Amino acid sequence: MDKHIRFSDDELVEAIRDKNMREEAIRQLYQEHAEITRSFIKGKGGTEQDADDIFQETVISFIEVIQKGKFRQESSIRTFLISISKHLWYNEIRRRQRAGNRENLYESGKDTEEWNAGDLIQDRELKKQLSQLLITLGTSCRKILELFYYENLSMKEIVLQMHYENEQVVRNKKYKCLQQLTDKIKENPLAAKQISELIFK
Amino acid sequence: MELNQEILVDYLDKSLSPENSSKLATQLKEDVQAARELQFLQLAIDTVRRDGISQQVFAIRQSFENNQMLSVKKTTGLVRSFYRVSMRVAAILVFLIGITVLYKYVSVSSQSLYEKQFTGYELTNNRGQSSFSSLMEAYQNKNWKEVERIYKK
Repeated sequence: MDKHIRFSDDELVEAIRDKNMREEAIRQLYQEHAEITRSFIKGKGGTEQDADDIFQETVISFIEVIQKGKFRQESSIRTFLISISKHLWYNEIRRRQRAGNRENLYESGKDTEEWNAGDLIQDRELKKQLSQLLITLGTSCRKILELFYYENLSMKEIVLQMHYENEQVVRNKKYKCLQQLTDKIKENPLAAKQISELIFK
Repeated sequence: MELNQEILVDYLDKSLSPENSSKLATQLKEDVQAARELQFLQLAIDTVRRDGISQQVFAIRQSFENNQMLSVKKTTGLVRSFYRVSMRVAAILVFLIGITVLYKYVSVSSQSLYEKQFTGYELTNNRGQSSFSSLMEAYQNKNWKEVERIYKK
């Protein structure tokens, strides 16, 4: 029988930061918060598929917010997740119907809660495009970048896992792969626009 | 310090010394081109991290949805088995009723009905009357032909 750990809100945040506990934490997010956020999306005109996709995006954004140290824990995790879902869904509606009545819905649905959604949740479309660019890199490049930047493995551990000659080889390979990805991103107009806005803000 | 891409990557990977790191941070405030380059690198790293998170979340989403589907199937299975049991009971009842009707149809005939249900009319005993005695006697002896003959006479 599966034995699941039940985290409190504070423990859950810590578990998300810990790569060994993250899976269990994400599972708890699904078990405890998926239904209410999905109901919200469906109540606002979304389909089952929309609700599932938005909740997945919500969880990803939540993890990113925690990893960037931007979750201030001024509200409960549930409130925060619903807040992210709302923003994602209103952005999605806005994307689907650029003009008209929905714009008003979007404006009225905006939260003035503890966090600045504009800073934290960027355009989903850009993220999709960037993910596509990552796929074009090739398997070994993706793997090495993922092991270093997501799994937080050391060069030594990557040498062992990917059977490279030594750490310097891995370092060079990782650098080249990151450079390759950066060059592809530079060619993306949406990304270029966003970077310019950040720089000249 | 020369702001090339390699140093920027080291800066983002936090592999520069604290001293070099703060020096570079100061330089970045003045060098817009290098700051732009750094933002692109940061975006690339964020993309890799996000992809890792997406894969992990997607895998959990799938297992969560599969579990949900399984529990829905289990519930449906219970309803179906209850439905099956009721249908079986109904079939047995129909069969038993059918057997009973068939038995009744086969076993009930005019002869058996007569034998089971017919009760003869018995004459009461009369004393002191002789005019009906031969008829009564024939009737009591169930000599129907004689009864008929006397009656018609």
